[in-house]
Amino acid sequence: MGNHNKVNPPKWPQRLLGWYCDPLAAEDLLGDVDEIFYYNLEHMSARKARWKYVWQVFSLLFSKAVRKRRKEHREKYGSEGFFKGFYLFNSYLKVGFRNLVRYRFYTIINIVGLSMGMTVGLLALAAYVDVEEVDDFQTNLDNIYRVITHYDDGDRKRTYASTSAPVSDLVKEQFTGIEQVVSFNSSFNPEIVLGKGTVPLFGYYADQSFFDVFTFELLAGDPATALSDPYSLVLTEKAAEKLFYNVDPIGKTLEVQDAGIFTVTGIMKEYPRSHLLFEALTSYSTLAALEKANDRTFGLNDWGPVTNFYTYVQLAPGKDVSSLVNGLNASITAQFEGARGSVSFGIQAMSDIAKTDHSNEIGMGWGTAALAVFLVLALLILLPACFNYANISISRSLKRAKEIGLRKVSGGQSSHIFLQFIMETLLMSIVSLLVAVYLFVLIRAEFQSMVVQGSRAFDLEINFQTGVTFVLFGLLTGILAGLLPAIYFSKLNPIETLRNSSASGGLSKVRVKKWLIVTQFALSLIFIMGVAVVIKQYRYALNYDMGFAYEQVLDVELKDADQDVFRTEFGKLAEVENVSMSSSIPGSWESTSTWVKTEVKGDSVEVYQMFIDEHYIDNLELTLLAGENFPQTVFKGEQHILVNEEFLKNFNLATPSEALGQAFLVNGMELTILGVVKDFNHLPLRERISSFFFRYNPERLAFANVKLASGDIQETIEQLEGQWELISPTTKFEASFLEDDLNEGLVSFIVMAKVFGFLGLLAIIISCLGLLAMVVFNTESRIKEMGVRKVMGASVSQLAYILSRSFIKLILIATLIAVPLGYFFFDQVILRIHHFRAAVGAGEILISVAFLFLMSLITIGTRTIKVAHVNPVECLRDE
Amino acid sequence: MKGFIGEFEELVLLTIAGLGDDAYGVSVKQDIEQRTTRKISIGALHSTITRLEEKGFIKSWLGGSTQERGGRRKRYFELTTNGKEALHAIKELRDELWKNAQAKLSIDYGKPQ
Repeated sequence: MGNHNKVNPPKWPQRLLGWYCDPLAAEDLLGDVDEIFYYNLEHMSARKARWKYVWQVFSLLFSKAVRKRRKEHREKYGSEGFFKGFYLFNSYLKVGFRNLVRYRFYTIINIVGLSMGMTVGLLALAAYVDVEEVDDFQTNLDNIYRVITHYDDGDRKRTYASTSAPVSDLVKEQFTGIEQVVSFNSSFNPEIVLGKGTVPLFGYYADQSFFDVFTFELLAGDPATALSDPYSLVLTEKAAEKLFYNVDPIGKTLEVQDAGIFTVTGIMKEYPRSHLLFEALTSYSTLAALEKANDRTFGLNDWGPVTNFYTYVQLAPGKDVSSLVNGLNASITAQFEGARGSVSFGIQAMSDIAKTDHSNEIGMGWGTAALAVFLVLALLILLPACFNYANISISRSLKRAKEIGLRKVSGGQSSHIFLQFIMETLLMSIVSLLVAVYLFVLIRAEFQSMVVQGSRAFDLEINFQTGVTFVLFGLLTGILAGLLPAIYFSKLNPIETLRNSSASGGLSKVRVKKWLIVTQFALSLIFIMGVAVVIKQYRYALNYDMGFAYEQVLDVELKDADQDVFRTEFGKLAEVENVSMSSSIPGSWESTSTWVKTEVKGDSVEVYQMFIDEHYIDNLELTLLAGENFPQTVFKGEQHILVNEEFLKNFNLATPSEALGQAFLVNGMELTILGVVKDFNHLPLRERISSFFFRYNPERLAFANVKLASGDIQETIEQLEGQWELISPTTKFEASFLEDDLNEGLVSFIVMAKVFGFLGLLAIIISCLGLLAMVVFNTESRIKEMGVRKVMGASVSQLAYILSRSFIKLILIATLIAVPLGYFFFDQVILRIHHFRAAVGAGEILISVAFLFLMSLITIGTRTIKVAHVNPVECLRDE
Repeated sequence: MKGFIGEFEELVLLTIAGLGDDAYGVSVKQDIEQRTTRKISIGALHSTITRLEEKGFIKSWLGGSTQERGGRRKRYFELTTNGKEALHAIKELRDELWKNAQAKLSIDYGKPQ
């Protein structure tokens, strides 16, 4: 028995057994396995003996012997599992609650911080759950797939949600196991003629199997035939309400501009959130009918374009998808032989559609990439709040240490202490969660308004699923925040804590705490810089000289008004300084382009265009560098163009005067340059100035640009409206100021500023709370030192300086880290998407840093100055 | 006859009887393993012992603590009268069966293959 002092059996199997059955009840059994182990040690290797030991314990664990002892033990002493746990739980809850109430200051700081961090988390989670829930109402969801198109042109790969139109026929004819195929065309945007005007609708040309495959409920009409005949029309409830008032729409006819007469065959109930987005459906057969009647082509038999057609298939349950994909790709190679890049088809489950970002999406796109960024941002806000909690708890360990020491001495095990602290944190995180849910409800409408189609994309309702997610999230946050302190406290040595040695918390912990503060403040500073940068960019864009005069210009939609009558009638008004006409509004996204060739054989170049009349150049104060304006003559077909400087560069024309008289091929016409205008921003500021020309064709004019004299705008507009009644009594007067239209394009800046502002606000509040807690703790523990210093003659300001010094150093470090990072991030990354941009300047950085310092100095100062003012007698008396 | 005795149970009962005052878990296990050259797990052995105790064939008591068991006490076993009776009954049954089967059970080692 020489060596069994050194070699011992492994401990964990015994523990396992002891956990299952009280070790006292199984004493003799454990003794037996031990004895066998030491016996075995003398006959075999220690490893083998250990292995046998484990085996023996396990054989006991599942034996009748242990089972019976466990049962007897329980009958004798009562079960220890549930009820004992319950009493302990109760006690932890009580102690936890008392602690939260006693240390109110820290509790409030923690709850405010955590709930703010959680609010963003809840927002991100609710958005995520919403994306998960898209199309959940579809009963065939698991069996519906969509054919998608992968296109690789050598430079980049793209995946389109759409396919070529003939794919659906191919699928129908060639594959088995397919229950239904639905073909879509997404270009159904009818302008319904209603009374004097038109009502625009959007929707799809859809196969008659649509209502079989998808779960959309018809309130009226027969789902089997609603989409079978050409020119049939199914409307959603809301769309029907728009068009019919108090009339049963079924069987009624509607005129669609440029298409024909449609018959309403169904009214559809409003549907829950789906990736399909439509308010009107017409039959797929309408496409063929329209081709015939109007001599238009949609590409129904064309393999080439993959823009507007979509194919959905409903497979038989359990059918393998891969055979369909392989079969499809095998049978289409011939169609794409001459294609520029490689084309292949894939299959996507309908339940995955909302979670991907494909090009050419049929309806809603959720921008999952943006959502991921949002989740990361939420985490960036939440984590500091959790760190704060850990930081504060551990800092206060001195106060709690005695309690824990006493608990341990009177029999509390580390696991009990651990549980107690976790419980305390959970209690707090649940309170925080409640606050966070309240904040979430307050801000969710704002969030929806910032997202395109926000209320359709995210309902952000708290239902069962989000509720469960929220609670789990709250508990997880609690555990995350409480884990570190709980481990720390459960490991405390009772003897040391009771002996009152304050050596707990070594250097490394202090350093971690400092870095946490630095990280938090650096992050806050970057957010604040974001606000400053975006506001600067916004003001820059607002005041940018676009190269034309936009003040006091009212763009009036011409509709059916006669141009000459408009000119004379409006020109009569005293408030109208000038009237010109154009086909579109400069500086907006709604600009058209065309392809232009020089007479010499060569490549076409894309050129943006606008049709104007002869007054336009004057009215918008554009500068002619050479040549002249369009002449004031009777229109006899297009002859001339006015080009911009960029156009000259693109066609290698050195000077404006040299360009005059040059001829170009535009839409099959030969047009000559009559004049050259100075470059101006015909596109939004985000884009650079491209080749552009003005063309002259009265038929294309859609807007009248009325320059108003400054005065009472409201009254002037009323006068204009009165004038409009005379010219065009059947249509509504619709007009907007050019300046407003231009500024509308800047809304994205406001949204960005709001996002940065909101996140920055949360980040800085959380950081300051953390800082405040640290300062309070630090000053409390140094209060005697301050007393002594004061007695020795230190002044209040000296004391405040001594107390604040180390914190100010941390903020400085944070600034040094955040400024270059933030500068790089905003200057190089965010603002790169704008062509005309204001560089990030020293001003914004200085303002942000000043703001950060102001906030942190206020935080630090409130405490340190108070402590510095304390009468030394107060704090030294009890020593 | 009260309770059926299985083969392994009989083995355990007889071993406990044979070991006398020194019959506890490990000694029973080792004795059986030596005599039968089969490996038995301590769990299986104690399950059988528990079952025998339930049937009232053995009784047990805790002995003093010993060094090599980490201070844990041994549980000793002893046959009860019931146990002894059961063993006797099974032996009688066996003897009777042997007597009946004598002629056919003789093994002929004489003939080489």
